[in-house]
Amino acid sequence: MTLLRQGRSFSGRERHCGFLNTGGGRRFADISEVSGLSLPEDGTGVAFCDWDQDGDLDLWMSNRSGPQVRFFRNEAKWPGRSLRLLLEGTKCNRDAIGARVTVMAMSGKPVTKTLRAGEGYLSQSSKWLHFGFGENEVKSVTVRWPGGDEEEFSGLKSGEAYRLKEGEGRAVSFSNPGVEPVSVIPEDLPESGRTNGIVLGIPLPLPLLKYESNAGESVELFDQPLGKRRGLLVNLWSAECEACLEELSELADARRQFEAAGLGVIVLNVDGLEGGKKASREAARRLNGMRFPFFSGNATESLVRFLQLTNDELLVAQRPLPVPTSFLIDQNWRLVAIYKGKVLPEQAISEMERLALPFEERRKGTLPFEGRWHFAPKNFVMLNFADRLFQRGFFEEGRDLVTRYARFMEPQPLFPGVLSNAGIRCLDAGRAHEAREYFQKALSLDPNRVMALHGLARVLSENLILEDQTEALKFARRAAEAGNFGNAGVLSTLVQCLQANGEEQEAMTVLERALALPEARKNADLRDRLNALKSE
Amino acid sequence: MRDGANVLVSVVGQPVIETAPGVEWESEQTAEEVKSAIKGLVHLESGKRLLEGFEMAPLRPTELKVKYEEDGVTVSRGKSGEMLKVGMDGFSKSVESLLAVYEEGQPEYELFKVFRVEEKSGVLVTRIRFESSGNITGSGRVQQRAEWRCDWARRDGELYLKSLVVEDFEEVVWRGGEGPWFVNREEEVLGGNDSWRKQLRFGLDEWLQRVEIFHGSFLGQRSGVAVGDVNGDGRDDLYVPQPSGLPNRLFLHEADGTARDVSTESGADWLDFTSASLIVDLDNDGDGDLALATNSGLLILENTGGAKFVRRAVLKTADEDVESLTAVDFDGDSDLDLYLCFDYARAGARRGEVRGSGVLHNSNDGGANVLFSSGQAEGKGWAFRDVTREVGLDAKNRRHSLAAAWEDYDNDGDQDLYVANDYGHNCLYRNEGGQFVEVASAAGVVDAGPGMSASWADYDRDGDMDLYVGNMFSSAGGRIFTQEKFRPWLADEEKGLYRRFVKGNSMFENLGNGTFQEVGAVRGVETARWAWSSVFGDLNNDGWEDVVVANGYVTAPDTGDL
Repeated sequence: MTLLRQGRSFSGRERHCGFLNTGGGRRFADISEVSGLSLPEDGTGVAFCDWDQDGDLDLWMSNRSGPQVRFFRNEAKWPGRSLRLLLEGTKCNRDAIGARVTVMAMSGKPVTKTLRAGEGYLSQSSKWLHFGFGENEVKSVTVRWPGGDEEEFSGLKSGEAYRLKEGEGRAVSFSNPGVEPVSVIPEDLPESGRTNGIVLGIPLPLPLLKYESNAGESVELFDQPLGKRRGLLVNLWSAECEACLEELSELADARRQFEAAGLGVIVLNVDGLEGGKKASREAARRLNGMRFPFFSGNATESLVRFLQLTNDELLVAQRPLPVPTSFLIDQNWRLVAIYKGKVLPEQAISEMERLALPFEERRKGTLPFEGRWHFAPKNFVMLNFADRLFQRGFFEEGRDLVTRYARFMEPQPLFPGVLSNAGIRCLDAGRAHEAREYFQKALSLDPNRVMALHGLARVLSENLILEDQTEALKFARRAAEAGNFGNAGVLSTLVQCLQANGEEQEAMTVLERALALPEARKNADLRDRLNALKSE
Repeated sequence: MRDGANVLVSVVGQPVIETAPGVEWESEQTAEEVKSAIKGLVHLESGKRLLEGFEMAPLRPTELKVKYEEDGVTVSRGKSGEMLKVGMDGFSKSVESLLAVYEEGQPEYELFKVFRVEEKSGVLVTRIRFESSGNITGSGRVQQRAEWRCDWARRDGELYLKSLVVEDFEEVVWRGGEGPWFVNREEEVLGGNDSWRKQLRFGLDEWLQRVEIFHGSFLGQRSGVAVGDVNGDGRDDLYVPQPSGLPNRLFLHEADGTARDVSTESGADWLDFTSASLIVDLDNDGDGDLALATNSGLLILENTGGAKFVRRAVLKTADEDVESLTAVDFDGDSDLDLYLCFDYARAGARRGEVRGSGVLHNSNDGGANVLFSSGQAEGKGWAFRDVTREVGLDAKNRRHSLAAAWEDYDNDGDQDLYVANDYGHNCLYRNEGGQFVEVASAAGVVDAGPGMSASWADYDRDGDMDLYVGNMFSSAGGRIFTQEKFRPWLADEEKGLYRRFVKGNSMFENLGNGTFQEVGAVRGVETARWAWSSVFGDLNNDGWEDVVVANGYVTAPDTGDL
């Protein structure tokens, strides 16, 4: 899953197949290649129809890859003709779905087909039934309408198209001369369907972030660059990137517009990440040389990692951020948009203005195309984001987020879980004091949360400074009870706490109970750990 | 060396439970070596060696027989001829004569796929599928498909080819006379539309870099396509369902053969992820209405005339993510009912947030499929009623269902139902007067594989309907599941199910007595790669049903295969 999100292939470039029935249904020949069907794309759906009405079957295919639809036009000149029939039910359902049609030719076996709606995978073929004939002539056409009535139609000729209406016994010729699709090969096709901006459906609160000033000090982005402005455009650039340099001068030229809009700009150079101080100084000189009118500095490794993580949280496709990339942040320190490639000053400014729009209206502009929702998503991504920060070791940032936005997060039922997770990450990273705080906070919102109780027990029993075995045992007991003695990990902690408190006998009882859990049977590590406790 | 678990993930895209620790699949590395060795030999690269005493059959069988020659298509087949002792010279002559059919002796495309690797008393026995295609000298196209059994010996760590037997060879020549058979013309048809230029030309991979997860984006969004007339001119129009956050597109088929996007003005531009769509006349008023399988439920849109759609109903179900849908009048009351397939039981599963049990050949924790009976005939308008349990379709209904297809397989006049399930048994529900009985086992159509699609047709023209089921063919699966050390604790029967799982598509011939016989391999339609839609259609107007298989899983633009 992770690899796929990072853009790896999986059973990719598998070519479509075609098999030709070589008569009698005894054997099919592989015609994937000679038929022209074998594109190495991710095809899914197939719908047959005689789109160009030239008497043979064409097909539409849907793709996961681009282009998302393919039209395979059957351009061979077949000696064989076809009979095309469109049914209309009068007693049965109007589409006559389920009708069985048998066509007898002057010689050879009959051809039988049923009209269906939906088959293959995710697809629906034409309701025009298509009968191939070879060079034969039609003898008779029998329709068994859904419901059982049989009806014979006569006077049909192969090579033609007819409508057959239930109960009328007469086929009505349908003529629509076949036409070549007009060749409108469009010009100026865009190279990408994406515009460069990813405008967030709901602006995402950010933690406090730091950059390195040209003097080499660690500075809050929030302070000076944002200051009392209405928003801030944070741009990552490299002196080795032509587009970056162009962008810098475009930003500089738009100084007045930015000022009028109250939008601050800071450009952070990334060259120091690989090239060290020398590269950073070189970049700074370049900016001085062009009298760059905005704030500037250097991106730190941690800041870049953070911004990449943010990108990866928002999008399924986790691709490395290019330079230039710009992040538009509003005055409430929320991420509004990410621009990959050059950002136009008016793009960022108008996006800031659109923040004033009502939610629904603003959201329309966050998608590449207009359309209508049946059930528009309203997910709150902030909790996941906080959770991910702790997972990835951004402890300061995570802490800032859950404290500053506690008011919004607390009503969310998932919040205690986020806090417990945060506690465990901190505990594993040797941040026991913080861990204790998160566990306590989680328990204040949900007093029976097993993970938090268990975590507290661990903190109090394992940490040398915070050690309090009596309290640890209390929490371990509560954790075991809250989890109905069903979690072997919790029980293992309880055993340790009991042993530390000299309750050997009870410890053995709990141990046996833990070993009997299916989890312990499956998990060899756990089993070993429990057995080791036993032998102690 | 990748461990067993990783290899199995690459076989089926799902981790397989309980891989014995310490088991390594050297065969995977060997398969890579074999592939490069055989490729090197065929390309006559230096340093690729034949063992002394090497024997081979002519790569192009000497007794090649023309099995079919009609309408510009010539099919020849042959098996291994006499084994000859040859040196490198002889080998290269054999390659030359194999490829002599191609313009300048060069195919445009070739593929070597190692699908069996077995060590037998010091000899490495491998089976390799060879494919090639290109222009023939003169005009036309040709393709070759062969299965070679190659035995190898190792000397100083290097592979030496000991013998090569041609187990199967097929050559198909297309001399259509005036040009190619199928030609891609989507740009000619759709190219005048902005939605083609900016939206449809780009695949999901592109959109996942642009449309936030917030809007419901996820990796596994797959959509089909529907054709049907929505404006009453007798021409098929086109509906293209789309991933989350991109509007579905409706194109009207114009008289000149092009198609015009009317999604917005017709009210068909839904942004909810839509996997499948149907154009069917649900209210029997003579125009095509729309049924859309979306993340947010099944949307029913009435065509109020001239392709103007109004939302009439949203069908909610216990499991939320509808996969596919089909329409049928199962109860003969003259209105169209809808059958919905569900892959996963829980919302979020498709997004990979929670997983199924991962049991390949027998998962029973999928979503519950639903049959909705239409209220139109009873005068209840757009009210649909869930009748799944009432009619007996709740039997064996927790599979991971991807596709369904209705057909009167027993020729008794009503519509029976086949459901293709991923990770396990498929279901055949026989309609007995509006009540359904699951008879897959007795009928012989269980096909316990990764069922992806189902299609019915009378391909042998004997008056009853046969069935083609899309599965997947995995050469990695074939290599691993056939080894003795693959899960030695499993009974042979169960191991057989694993092998079965990666064998490819199945074709079931209707024997006319209520039972079927699986004939995919003997008919030559089994190995069809990572198949999705695998469907019957007469591609050359000869009255005999042919087969088309849409293929491929995830192709990224710039990287190799996992």
